[in-house]
Amino acid sequence: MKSKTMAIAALALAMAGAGVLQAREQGKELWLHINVHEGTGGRVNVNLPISVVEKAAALIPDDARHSGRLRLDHHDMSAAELRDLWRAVKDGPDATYVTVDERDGKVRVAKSGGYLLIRADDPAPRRSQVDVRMPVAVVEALLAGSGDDLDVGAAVAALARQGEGELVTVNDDKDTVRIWVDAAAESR
Amino acid sequence: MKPRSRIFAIFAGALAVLVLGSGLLLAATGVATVRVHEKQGDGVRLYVPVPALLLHAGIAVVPLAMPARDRARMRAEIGDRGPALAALLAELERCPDAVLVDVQEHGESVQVVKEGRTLAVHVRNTDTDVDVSLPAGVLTHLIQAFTA
Repeated sequence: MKSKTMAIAALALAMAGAGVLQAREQGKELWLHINVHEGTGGRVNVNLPISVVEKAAALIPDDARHSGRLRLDHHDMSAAELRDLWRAVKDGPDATYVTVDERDGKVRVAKSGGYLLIRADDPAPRRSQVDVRMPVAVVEALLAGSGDDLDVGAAVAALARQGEGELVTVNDDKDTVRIWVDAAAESR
Repeated sequence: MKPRSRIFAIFAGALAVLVLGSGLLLAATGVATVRVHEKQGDGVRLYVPVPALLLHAGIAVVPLAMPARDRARMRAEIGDRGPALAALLAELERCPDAVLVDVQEHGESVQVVKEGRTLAVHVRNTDTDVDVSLPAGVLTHLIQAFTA
C-alpha cells in the first residue's frame, strides 16, 4: 500500500507544477495538496504553491529523471512502456481502454473528457480503491521525452494550465490519501 | 541652549537615530530564533534570537574563511543546482503564508510554516517543544554564497 501510495504521490507531485502561469494571470495562486490519513492515527498534510513545486521540479537529479519507472499494482512499468501504452491511447476516442477483472483485483483505464482515468479496486482482505484523474495534457507532457525520461517540469507546467481539480484518491480499510489542486492555501 | 544641553540633545538624537535605524534594519532583514523547551521540571528552556543581519554578515565571511578545498567540495555537492535551489527559496519567500507541511503521529507533530518572509519549523512531542524560524532570505544568501 505504502509503495503504491508513494508512487502515485510522486507521479501526482511530478505532474503538479503547471498551473502557475494561468493562476498568476488570473491573480490567484494554485496550491497542490497532499493529505494522508493513516489508520494508526497518523496524519500528513502537505500544502505547496504550484509555483514552488515547479521550481522544485528543476531540482530532481538527472539520474532520477532518466530512470522513470512507475509501480502500478505490483507491476513496474518503465517510462518507455508507459509511452508505448500512451501512444495507443492518446489519439483514440473517449473509451475504456483497459479492463482487468480478476479475483484479486479490478483495474480500469479510460480516457474521458480530456482526462486519463485509472481506477483500481482490490477486494478484501486489502480492500483498497485507487482513483487517478490526470488531465491528458499532463500525461502527454510527462511522457514527451524519450527513453526512460519523464519530463516532470513539463508535466508541472501542463498541470498549472489545467487549474483546480482532484488528481488522486486512495482509500483502503486503514489509510486514505488525497491529492488535489485548488486555490486555497490550507487543506479543506 | 546651554552647551551642556546641546551636547545632551545631540547625544539623545544620535541614540534615537541608532535605535530607530537598528529597529528598521531588524524589521527589514528579520530575526532568526531558536526556542527549546524541555517539559521536565529542570529541563532546558532556551530562546536565542539572532538578527538576520548578523547571519548575512557571517555568511559573507564564512566562505572566505573556509579552506578552498572545503569550499570547492561544497560547491561540487550543490553542483549546478545552486541557481535552481536559490530560485526555489526565492519562490518560497514570495508565496503566501501557509502551513506547508503538517505531520502528526502518536502525540508528536512537525510543522513547516511560511510566516511572512520567514520559514519556521515547529516540533512538538511529549518531552520537548522546539521552534526554529529563519528568514528565507538567509537561506537564499547561504546558497548564493557557496555557489558564487
